[in-house]
Amino acid sequence: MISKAIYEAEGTTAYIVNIMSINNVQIYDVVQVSPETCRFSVTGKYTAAAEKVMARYDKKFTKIKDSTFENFMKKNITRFGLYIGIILVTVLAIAWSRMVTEVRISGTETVSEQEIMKTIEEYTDVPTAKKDIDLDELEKRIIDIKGVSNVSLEIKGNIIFIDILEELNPSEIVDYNEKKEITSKYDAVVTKVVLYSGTAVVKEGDTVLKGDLLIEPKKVMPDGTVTDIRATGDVYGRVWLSKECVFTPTIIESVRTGKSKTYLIGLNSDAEIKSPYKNYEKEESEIISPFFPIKLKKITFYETKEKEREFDYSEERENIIKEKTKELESEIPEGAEKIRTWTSEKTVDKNVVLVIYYEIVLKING
Amino acid sequence: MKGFFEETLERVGLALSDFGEKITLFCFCGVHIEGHKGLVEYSEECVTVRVGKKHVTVKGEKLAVKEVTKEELFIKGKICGLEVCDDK
Repeated sequence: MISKAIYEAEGTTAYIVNIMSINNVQIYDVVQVSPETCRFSVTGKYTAAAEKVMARYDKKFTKIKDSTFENFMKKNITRFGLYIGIILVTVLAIAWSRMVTEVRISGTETVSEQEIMKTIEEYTDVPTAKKDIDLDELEKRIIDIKGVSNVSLEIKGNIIFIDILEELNPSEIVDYNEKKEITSKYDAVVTKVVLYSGTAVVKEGDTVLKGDLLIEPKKVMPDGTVTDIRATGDVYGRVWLSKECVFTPTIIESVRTGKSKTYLIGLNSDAEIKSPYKNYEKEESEIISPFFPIKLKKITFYETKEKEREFDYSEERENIIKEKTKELESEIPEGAEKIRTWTSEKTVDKNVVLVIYYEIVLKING
Repeated sequence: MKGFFEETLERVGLALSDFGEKITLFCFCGVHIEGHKGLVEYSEECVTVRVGKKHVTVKGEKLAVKEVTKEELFIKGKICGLEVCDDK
């Protein structure tokens, strides 16, 4: 469809047709609008010539509409920046949609994710084009990792999902004829002895130190002979854990000066960013770029300085005891029964020495 | 290779050079005039065009000049008649 410009000019149809045709201007759709006005159309090629002819014959005219390509270009020539931007974004979006930019691994408990990532990085870099990834080849490489029984790979959007099925732990084979003793792993007071095989050398109430023999790998037969066997059983004991802390009247802490510097790098970038400050605190987070749909890593360094301040133990006593008790609790082995906890405080040369105790009962043979 | 028109003229003993002007009627709804010398009169019922040394009057209803170039002119509408007379 050819776009045209429409004019309304002074004159009769015959007059306009004649002056245009004499001057070799091609016109279309000539209509007598009123006795003194005629409307006609021209293509973009003839607009300038038509206006020139009408000016030469002193005929007043009005351009009603101009939908020619030349007019469109004239209007939009200054918007080329916008068009280039639109084209660039479209091209980037198309290129982005054809790439894999993230790896998500699931199903790992004993096999480390770093090992799987290392295998992937040996095969291909991420981000990479989707067509460059051979899922079958990658699957073979991941299955070769020790501990991996099977793997499922799928690319959805820009993410490659890796679901790992790990190998089961081999069952422990116990040789009951093998001579093996049971010793204590803690300093404890024995509370219970459960014997399956061997000879118990401790009883309830005995005090044992770490490393002491608990169950001997020997069995006395009915006829009096002694046979070497594997000692099996569990010995429970009362154990005391403690944590000591010293608090001075003044403490030195790091405070931020107010100065900071932020860096943005690619999410999977290995670049090492060094702090511009001598003393600093570092914060890392993930953000989405405001200009393009990609994730970036934001690293902020805050300058700090050491500042001495007075410390009043009595004001913060309760919080400190709570905090230190919690720290001690995190050291308690799994399966232990907590009996009680208490604290002791003493002041030595203006310093406060705080000791927290925890009494637990647990299996002391490990 | 000669076209149909040229061959027809040759058979009836006429030369192509005699036909600088040509008027073609399309199904009584359009007239194409080649070799016109300008429009003499225009109205929706009657359009007079100078063709060579003659005046060609196209009569009809809702006549409109659809396209005009230096040599060609196309009139569209319900054509009722064509009249040729000498240039006055």
